[in-house]
Amino acid sequence: MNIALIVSGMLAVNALSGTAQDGTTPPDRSTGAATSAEQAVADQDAAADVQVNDVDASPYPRFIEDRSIKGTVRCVGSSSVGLMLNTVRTAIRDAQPGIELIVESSGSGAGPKALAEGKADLALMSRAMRPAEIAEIEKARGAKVGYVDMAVDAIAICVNRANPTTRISLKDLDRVFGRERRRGGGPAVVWGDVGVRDTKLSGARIELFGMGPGTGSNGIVSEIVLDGGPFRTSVNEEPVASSVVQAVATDPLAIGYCSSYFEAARVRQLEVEALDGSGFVAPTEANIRSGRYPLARSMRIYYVDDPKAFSPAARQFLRFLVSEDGQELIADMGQKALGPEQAHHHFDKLK
Amino acid sequence: MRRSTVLLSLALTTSVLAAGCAAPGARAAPRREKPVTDSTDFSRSAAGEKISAEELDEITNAFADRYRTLMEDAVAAIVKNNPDARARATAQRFLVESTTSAYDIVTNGDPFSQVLDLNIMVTLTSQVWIDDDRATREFGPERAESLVYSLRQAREEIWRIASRVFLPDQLAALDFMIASWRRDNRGVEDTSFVRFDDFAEQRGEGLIRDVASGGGLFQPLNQAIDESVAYRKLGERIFYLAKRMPTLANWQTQAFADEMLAKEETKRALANLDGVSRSVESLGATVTQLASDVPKIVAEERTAIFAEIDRRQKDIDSALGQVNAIAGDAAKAAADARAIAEGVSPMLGDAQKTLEAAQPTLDAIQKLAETSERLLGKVAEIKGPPVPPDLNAPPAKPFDIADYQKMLGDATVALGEANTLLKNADSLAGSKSVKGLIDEVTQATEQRIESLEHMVTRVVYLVGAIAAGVVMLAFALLFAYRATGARAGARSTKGGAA
Repeated sequence: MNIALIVSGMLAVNALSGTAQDGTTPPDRSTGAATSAEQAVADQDAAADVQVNDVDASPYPRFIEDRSIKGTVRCVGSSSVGLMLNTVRTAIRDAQPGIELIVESSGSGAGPKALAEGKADLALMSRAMRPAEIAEIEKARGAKVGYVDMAVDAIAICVNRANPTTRISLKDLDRVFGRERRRGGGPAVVWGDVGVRDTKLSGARIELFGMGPGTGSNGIVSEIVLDGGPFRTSVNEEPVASSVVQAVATDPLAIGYCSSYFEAARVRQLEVEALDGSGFVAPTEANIRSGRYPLARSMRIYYVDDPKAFSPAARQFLRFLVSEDGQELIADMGQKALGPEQAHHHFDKLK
Repeated sequence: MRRSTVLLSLALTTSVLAAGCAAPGARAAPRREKPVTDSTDFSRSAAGEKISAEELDEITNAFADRYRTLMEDAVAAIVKNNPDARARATAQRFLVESTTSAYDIVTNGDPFSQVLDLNIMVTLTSQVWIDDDRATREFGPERAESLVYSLRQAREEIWRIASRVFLPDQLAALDFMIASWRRDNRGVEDTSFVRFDDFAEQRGEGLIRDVASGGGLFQPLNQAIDESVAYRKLGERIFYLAKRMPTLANWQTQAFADEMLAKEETKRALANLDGVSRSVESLGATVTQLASDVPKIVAEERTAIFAEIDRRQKDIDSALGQVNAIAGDAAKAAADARAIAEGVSPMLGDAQKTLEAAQPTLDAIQKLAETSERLLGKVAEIKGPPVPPDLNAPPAKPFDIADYQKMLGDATVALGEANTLLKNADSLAGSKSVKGLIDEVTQATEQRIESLEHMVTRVVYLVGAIAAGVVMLAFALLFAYRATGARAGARSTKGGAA
């Protein structure tokens, strides 16, 4: 991990420029009176820092430390997102010592409520906030609600390794999982119904596995694949994503959906037909970031976009999260980081 | 030292007392038990009903036993009739480690940590053996199925239990945390003793703080009763583990034995390989040595053979003398028999038959003598006159098989004669006539002795009878004398009175 090195490089660049991008007070190093000897050392350090920066040139936004910003940031909501923030907490202490992070993992449903009541500065969501939730916050706080994406994820459609299937269309997925089959066609009950031929699977019943209602995975599949329709009652609901993967791993007749983060040697993630019908797309990081893979989602953090409610500390923390340093941490966790353009887009919101 | 380790030590000391409950070696019969949770658990957690520490403690204890049963069934299916010693040892080691780990966890004093650690242990174990396909690699696709089934079953059940403690988002976070650990520790396959403490602290502390303090569905213990409950639970945990310790010890022993067996087989295979190598080397050396030593060996063997023939000749001479003596004895016996027959013809009416029966025996003896003489002649012909070994003589000429062809032919003839001799000797020993002769002589002797005894008995009886008669006569004479004397006395008395 070269976070400290990168951060020191950024500090050096900032010191050389003598200005802060957000107009706050520049770091002490650039403004203090220095002797010639000190200046020589500083010049050498700056030269070295610039060299490091050149080597580590990144398309992601750069985080700039501002030691004048101090304060506590209260985060309430999704446990999945909260877990990632717990990992980030140590890094933000190093990069911005004046900021203290408090994370309460109480579920995505708790985030909007805490934000509306003023008990949280940031609401952590593993799904998009519902319009009703946003409206309630705006009504309570008297200001608009903003958000930044901190990571992306995708829902993978997976089958057992013994199953020869490698790709599936959205229509076939609807025929497999959907009760109403809003995309058309008859129900797909056996593997032969979705194109499996010349194997003993073709006449075998398809076993369905997925997540329960209210989960992000369930919502995305319902919205994008089933076109808002309901799931079949024969879907076996698993408590967590890794259980879905293992259920598929132990059953050659199974098909399931869960976060692409969870993989297994006995499971194959299928290519899924693109929304525009341009072909089949694998759930690779590039395809997820580019949006070509149809079942992508974002890990999102909401805030009240008002100077009184949105503290400088909270803003600075979010800057760090979508910067090069924050995204590197997310990638180290095995999560899918934002693309550079996405990162800049959200970083710019925070100016 | 961890508290559970102390408990394990205490349990070991009390395991003897508990042996009556679960005797070592008493392997539980495979059985399918009802899962420790059922479908109502989800509805209870959905309703937000909190679970108490005591209830959770009971559930985790029951799950540990359930887990043991599932793993025991799976391993029994793997090792049954399995010729692969390494696979058997691996399966037995897995059973010991996974089950010991489960009991180690549930004897922890904190029920919340119990369910958390059980969840982590079972999930990681199932992921290694199922998701990473280790079961198939270790045991093959067919035998792996039992373990895949059991681990899958255990995993489903422990997540049901976890759903009574954690909210859905917290479950997802726990799932993510376990998956992250796996990503950070790729290649680690021994996960039985991975605990929550082994996870990066910062990733889980918020989760633990929230749930353990009542942020989830877990109802923490009331501080006022915490101490008393803790002491009671401590005692319960000791006995809980003590009851199960003999079985664990038994499995541990079995695992040790299986591992030793596997190692021994390897050692034996290596020993066999070494043996073959040594044999090949030895054979090569022998062939080389033989090529150079054959002439010398043949000369030595020739000398040894003739020395042996000399020794045998003495034995044969001795045997021939004995045969001649037997023949003489037989002739004498025949003459004696003839005399007996002539002398006691009234008593031995069939002596003539005996004499006739002895004739083939005499013929056989005669034939034996002739054969022996022929054999000795052959041996003498082969050997030639005995030559004392000459130490200064030049080395024998190299081995030539032609030199031995004639000797082999003569030896074969001699062997045939020897066989004939043996056959004749056998024939003599088993001859009916000889047996009959001996029987007749024995019978005649016995009859004569019996006759003499009869005569002596008669004389004794006669002498006894005469003696008895004499005694009786003496008594009669004495009685007559006394009676006569008494009568004469009476007459004299009457005459005097008158």
